[in-house]
Amino acid sequence: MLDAALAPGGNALDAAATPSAAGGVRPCTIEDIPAVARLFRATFTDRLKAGGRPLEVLLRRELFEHPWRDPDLPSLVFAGPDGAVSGFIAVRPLRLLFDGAPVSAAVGGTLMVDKSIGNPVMGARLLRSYLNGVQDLSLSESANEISQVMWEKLGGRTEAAYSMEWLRVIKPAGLALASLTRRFRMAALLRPFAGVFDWCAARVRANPLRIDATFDEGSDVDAEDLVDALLALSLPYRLRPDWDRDSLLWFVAQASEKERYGPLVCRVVRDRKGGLAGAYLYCVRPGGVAFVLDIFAAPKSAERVVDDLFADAKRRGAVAIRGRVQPEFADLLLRRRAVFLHASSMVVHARRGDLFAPIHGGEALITGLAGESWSALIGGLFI
Amino acid sequence: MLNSEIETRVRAFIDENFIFAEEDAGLDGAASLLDAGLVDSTGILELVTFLESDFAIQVADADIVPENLDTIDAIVAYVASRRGASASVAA
Repeated sequence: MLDAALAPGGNALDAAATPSAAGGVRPCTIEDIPAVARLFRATFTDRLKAGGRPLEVLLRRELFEHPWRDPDLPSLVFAGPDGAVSGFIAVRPLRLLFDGAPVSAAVGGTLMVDKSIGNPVMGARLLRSYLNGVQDLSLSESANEISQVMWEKLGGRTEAAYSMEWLRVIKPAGLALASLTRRFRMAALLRPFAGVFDWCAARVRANPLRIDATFDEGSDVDAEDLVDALLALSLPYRLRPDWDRDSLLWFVAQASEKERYGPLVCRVVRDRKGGLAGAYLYCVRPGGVAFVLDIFAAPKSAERVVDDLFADAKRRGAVAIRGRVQPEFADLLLRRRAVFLHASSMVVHARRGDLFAPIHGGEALITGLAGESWSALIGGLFI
Repeated sequence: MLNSEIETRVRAFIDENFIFAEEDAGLDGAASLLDAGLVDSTGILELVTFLESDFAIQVADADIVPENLDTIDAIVAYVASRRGASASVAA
């Protein structure tokens, strides 16, 4: 049975998956989707909205139509003695290359248990079963405080450099209003006043948050052109996804369904000679806080790319921009007046010690499209 | 290893890591650690790691159930059985 065969490095999933009398962990099957969806709805109530997409459709696509789906790396459910699903962890296979050599990895997330059952071993067993899977590298970029401690108890490490979010304010009053409106809808009545404040502030030359919205070195591109750029720009990373055109197109398509953050914008930035300087993709809508999934830059082009991003977000009416810190851009973002905040933690569990070197050295591409932020479960709205 | 020795070490670990009030010390061997809120999902993993390292046993995931880990008595019985199983295999 699954749980009984989990010596580190062993292939736990070769074993049969019959839950014990006390319940147990087994691979998630397509028949479990309605139960997993029910659990998700009970756990993440803030992501539900009338008019949203059916959660079952999304789960089926992300878990069973994933381009790197691997029967040896299934998502897992905790099933009680009666077979009822009371816990779940999403396991998304990730094909990585480390200095050109393949590495088996899996991103674990959406760990949830039925709290009404009051069985604290469920979450522990789900996480332990996942970490004892066949992959060499396990990671999550969405660990909350409890999950983070659980990962650490199981030998995982928190990667502080990847556990921060940056925030760059564009319109201070607009940002304050956007935050307020999330709690009190009536606060939207203050919009004209916020607009006047920010209009005036933008014209003060000494304003340290001023952004030159005329800076425009990039162009909007479709997913196909973005993918061409990303395939080239991801090559310098020592640890990076083994993307091909089809798989990367699939990840970008998932990332385009984040209704809470706004429509996805893909841009490619060129240098003065027309060469590829960088690319980025982010969700943005007027009056909202833009959400950056990834920034890529060719050597010595980071400033050009980030400045284009800021200017583009301002032109589109965002009140601020945020994204997960990528270590290679941290210094530049600080110089560009971004503030860093703790976000959900990036936790990593590796069977091979050498895999930590590129992560600690900021030479790993393991977040955003490479991690789990592409998932529509993050930023999407469901029924 | 005698069960009393196992119990002493388990109690010491629980006292040190999960008991924060003086009056909770000297826990009844049959008292539920889970119901008392002394051990949560993080604590379970901590406890399992302790058992594996301190008693040189392998705790299978299927064994991570309240029946084995919810009380000091249950933990002692589980460790004794695992150590017995290991000894049998070694012999």
